[in-house]
Amino acid sequence: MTELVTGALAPSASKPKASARWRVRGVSWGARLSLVFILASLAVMVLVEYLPLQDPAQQDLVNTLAPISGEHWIGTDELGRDLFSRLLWGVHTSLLAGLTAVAVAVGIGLPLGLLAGYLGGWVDQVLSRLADVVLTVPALILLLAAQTALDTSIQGQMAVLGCIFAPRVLRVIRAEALGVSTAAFVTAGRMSGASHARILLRYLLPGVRAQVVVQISYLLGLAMVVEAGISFLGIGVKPPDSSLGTLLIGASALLSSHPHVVLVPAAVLTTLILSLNVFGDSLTEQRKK
Amino acid sequence: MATMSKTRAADVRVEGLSLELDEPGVAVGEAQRLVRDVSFGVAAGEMVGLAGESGSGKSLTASAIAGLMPSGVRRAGGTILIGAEVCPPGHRHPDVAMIFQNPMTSLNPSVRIGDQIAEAVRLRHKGTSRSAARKRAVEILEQVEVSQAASRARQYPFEFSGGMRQRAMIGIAIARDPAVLVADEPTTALDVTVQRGVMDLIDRLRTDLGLAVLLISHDLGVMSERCDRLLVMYSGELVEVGGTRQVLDQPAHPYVDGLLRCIPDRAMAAGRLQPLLGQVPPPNRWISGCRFADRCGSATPACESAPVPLAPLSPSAQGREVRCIHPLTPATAGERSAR
Amino acid sequence: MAVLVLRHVIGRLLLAIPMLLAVTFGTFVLLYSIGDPAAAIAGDSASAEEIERIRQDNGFDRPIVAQYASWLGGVLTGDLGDSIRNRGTVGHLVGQHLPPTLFLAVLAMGIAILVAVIAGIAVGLRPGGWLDKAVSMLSVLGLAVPNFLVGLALILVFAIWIPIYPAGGYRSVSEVGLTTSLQYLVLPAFALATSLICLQTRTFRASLIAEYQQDYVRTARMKGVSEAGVFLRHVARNAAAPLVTVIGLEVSILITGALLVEVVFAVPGIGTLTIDSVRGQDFPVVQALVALFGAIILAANLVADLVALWLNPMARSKA
Repeated sequence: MTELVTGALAPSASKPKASARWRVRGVSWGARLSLVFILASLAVMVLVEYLPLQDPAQQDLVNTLAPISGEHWIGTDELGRDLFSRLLWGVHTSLLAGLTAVAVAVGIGLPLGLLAGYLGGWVDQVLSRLADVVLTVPALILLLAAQTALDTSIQGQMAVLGCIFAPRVLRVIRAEALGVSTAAFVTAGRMSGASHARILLRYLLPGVRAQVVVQISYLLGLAMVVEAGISFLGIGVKPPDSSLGTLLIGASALLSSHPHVVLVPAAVLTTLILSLNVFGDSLTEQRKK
Repeated sequence: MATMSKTRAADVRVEGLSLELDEPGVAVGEAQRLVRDVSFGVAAGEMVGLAGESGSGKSLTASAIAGLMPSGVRRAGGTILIGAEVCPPGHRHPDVAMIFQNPMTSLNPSVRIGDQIAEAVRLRHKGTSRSAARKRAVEILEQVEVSQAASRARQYPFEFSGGMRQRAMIGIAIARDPAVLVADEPTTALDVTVQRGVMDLIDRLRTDLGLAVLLISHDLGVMSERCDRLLVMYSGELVEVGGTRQVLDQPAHPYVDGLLRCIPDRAMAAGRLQPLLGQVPPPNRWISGCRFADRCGSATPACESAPVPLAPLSPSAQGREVRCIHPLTPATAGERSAR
Repeated sequence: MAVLVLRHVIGRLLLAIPMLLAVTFGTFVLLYSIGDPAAAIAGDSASAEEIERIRQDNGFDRPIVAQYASWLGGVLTGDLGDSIRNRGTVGHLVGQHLPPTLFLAVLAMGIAILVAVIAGIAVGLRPGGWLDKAVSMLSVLGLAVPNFLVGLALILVFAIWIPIYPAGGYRSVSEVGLTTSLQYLVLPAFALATSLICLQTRTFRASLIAEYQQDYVRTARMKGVSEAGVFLRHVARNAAAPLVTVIGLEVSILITGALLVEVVFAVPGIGTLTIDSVRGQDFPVVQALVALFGAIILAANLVADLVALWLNPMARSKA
C-alpha cells in the first residue's frame, strides 16, 4: 500500500504540527524514486546555467560522434557537440516548456473550475460546454492548428498548450469543488456569514489543493510528451537549441551506428514521464484511502 | 452420477463437517477452523432451519453443501451425503440447488430471465433443444408464480422487482430438478411485504416436489413459522438442535435463550427486552472450550477449560441436543428472566 | 426497445452535430481570423501590398462568419477548397493520404484488442500473481513511453539488429499485394498499439476482477455452468462494456499517435499530411483535417456508446 501523507493531502485541521505535514509513511519505493528523479530534474532545470558544462552549441567537426570519454561523458553528436551538456540543457528546456504549459493550464483552469463548481447554474453550463468542445479534439491536433495560424516560438506554443489543457483542469476542479461545496463545513461557513470570495479562497481552494497537485503531475508529463513530439517533428524547439525532443531528431539515421546518442535522451525523457505518472498515481491512490 | 435414475426424494446428511481457512501464510490448525464438527440431516419434504448471527458459519456450511465454497476456504474434515452419494469437497451435486440472499445481484444483469432459467434446464438435461428449454423456462416461471410468464421471460433482471427476482432465482434453482434446496437468507434482502409470498412459494415447492429444504437465516420469526426443526450455530459450532417449537419455547442453550430475549414480541410477553451483551468473537480468538462462555451469565471455569460436546438434553427429549454443561431447564430459565 | 435506441441515436447525433460545428468554427476563427492566411500564402518575402492583394482576391477580408458559412457550404457540397502548397483540392489530398492511415489504425486497434484481451484474461483470472504484477508494471511503463520512441526502439530491434521488417516507407495493397504491404505496417502498428494495449489491459483486468466478484457468477456455478462457460457466457459480456467505452475514447490517442508514428516510419498517411500542412501553413488542409478528426472522434464515441448500450440492457432502457 502506498501512502503519502503531505499537508496537501490531509485535512490541515487534523495536522496540528507543521513538521507532521510532510511526513512520508510507507510510500512505495517506486513513488519515492520518482519523486527523487523529479526533484533532481527540477534542480538541473534551475542550476544548469551555473554548472561547469561545455557550451552545448559548440561544434567540433573533428570530434563528431565521439565515444564516451572523460571529456565527453556520453560522447558527442553528429556535429561534435558535447551530448552531456546538450542533455542537461535539453532537460532544462523541456521541463521549462512543460511547466509553462502547466502554469497556464492551472492559472486558467483552477479559478474557472472553482467558480463553475461553486456557482453552478449558467456559469457552470457555459464553462462545461466550452470545455467539452475543446476536449473533443486531441490536444496535439489543436496545438498544431494553432501553430499553423500563429507560427510562434516554443514558449508561445506551450502557452497555447496550456490553454488547451485548461479545460481538463477545469473539469477535475469543478467536480472536486462541487463535492466540497456541498460539505457541511461550507454550509456552516455560509451560514456564519462568510462572503463568496472567502468561501472560495478559504474553504474550496484548500479542498481542491490535493487534486491540483495530482493534475500538475499528470499534465506536466503530458506536456513534456507533446513538447518532445513537436520538437522531434521540427515544429517546437528549433535547432540548435536542445530539448529532449530535438535531441531525437535524426535518430533514425544514427540509430544503427550510434544508438546511445538516441537512447540516452530517450531514456531520460521516458524516466521523467514515468516518474510524473507514478507520482501522480501514488497521490491518487493516497486520496482514495 | 445418478442423474436420470434418481428417485425424486433424497435427503441430505452432513457428518462432522469442518471448514478452515486455506490461505498461504495462515497456520493450519484448530484456530483456523471456521466451522467445527457440524452434523445434521434434512429429510425429503422437511424444512430445517439453520440459525445464527453473521460470522457463525451458517452460510459457509450451506455453501459447502452446494459445493460453492468461496475460494480461500477448504473442507478440513467430514462428509456430505446427498441420498446415498458422498460428495467430495467442491463437488456440485446435480440434485442440490441453492438460492441466495441478494436477488438484485444474483442474476446476470445482461441476460434475459427466461434464458437464465433455460440455461439451467439445458445443463441439467443435456440434449434439450433451445426451444424446448425456453418453453420449460416459461413453465417454471409460471410455477414460481410469475404472472404473464411468457412475456416476463423475455425481460431482463432490472425489469423485475426484488420479490420477482427472487422468484426467478428460485425458478433457476428448480430448473435443476433438485432434491435438496439450500436457501441462504432468501428473504433478508426483500421488502417485508413480499417476504411472506416468497416463503410461501418455497414452502409450496417443498410439498409439491418433496424437496429437502435447508433454510439459513438469522430471522427466528420466519423459522418459527416454517421449519420442522431448528439448528442454531454459534462461532462455527452447532450449539442447539431440536424441534422448532421445543427450541423456541424452552431454549436450553444460554445463547439461544439470549437471542430470544432480543426479539421484542417474545421478550415483551415474557417481561422485558434484554440485549445480548458482547460480540461474536472472531475465528482467531475462538477457544477450544465453550465459545459463548465470556458472554454467558451462567459460565463457570469448567466451561472454558475443555471442549463441550453436543449432547442429548435428556434421555426422554427425542432429537434435542445442546452444547452446554449448564443447560437451562424450565426452572433455571424462569430464574434468569426474574433477575 | 428499438424505438428507444433509435431515439437515443438521434439524441446523440443532435448533441454531436453542434459539437462538430463548434469545433470547426473555433478552428476556423483560429486560422482565418487570428492567423493570417494571406501572409501564409504570400510567403516571407512578400510585400505588404502583395499580401493585401491576396487577402482581397481570396475574400479573407470578409467577416469571419461569412467566410465560415461559405466554407461550411462547400463542405456540404463536398468541396473542401484548394490546398495552398500542393496542386489539387483538399479533398483529393486527404483522400490520397487516408488509405495507409486507415489500414494502420485498423491494424493497430486489432493488435491492441487481441493482446489486451489475452493479457487481461491471463492476469484478471489470477489477480495478485507474479504475472499480474509484471503486466501492471509493464503497462505503467508502456503508458509513459511516447509512442514515437517505441517506434524508434522497434526500428532498432526489428529492422536493424534483426532485419525482418522494413524500417519505413509504405507500398499500397494494389501495388505489391496484401502480404508485402502489411510488412511495411507491422512495426508502425505495434508502435501505435503500445499505449492502447496498456490502457485496454488495465481496463479489462479491472472489469474482469470486478465481474468475477459478482453474485451472479455463483448462481451460474450453482446451475452447473463450467468455468469456461462462466467466463464466456456470463462474465465476458459484462466485463466488455467498460472495454468498449475505453476503445471508443482511444480513437483520440490513435489519431495523435499516428501523426508521430507515420513520420518516424515515413508512412505517407494523414499524419504525415498533417505535419507537412502545419509546417507549410496550409490553412485549408489543416482546417479540413481538424474537421475530419473531430468527426471521426465524435462518430467513434457514438458507436462505442451504441455497443455499450447493446451490451447493457439496463442502460438501453434508460437511454
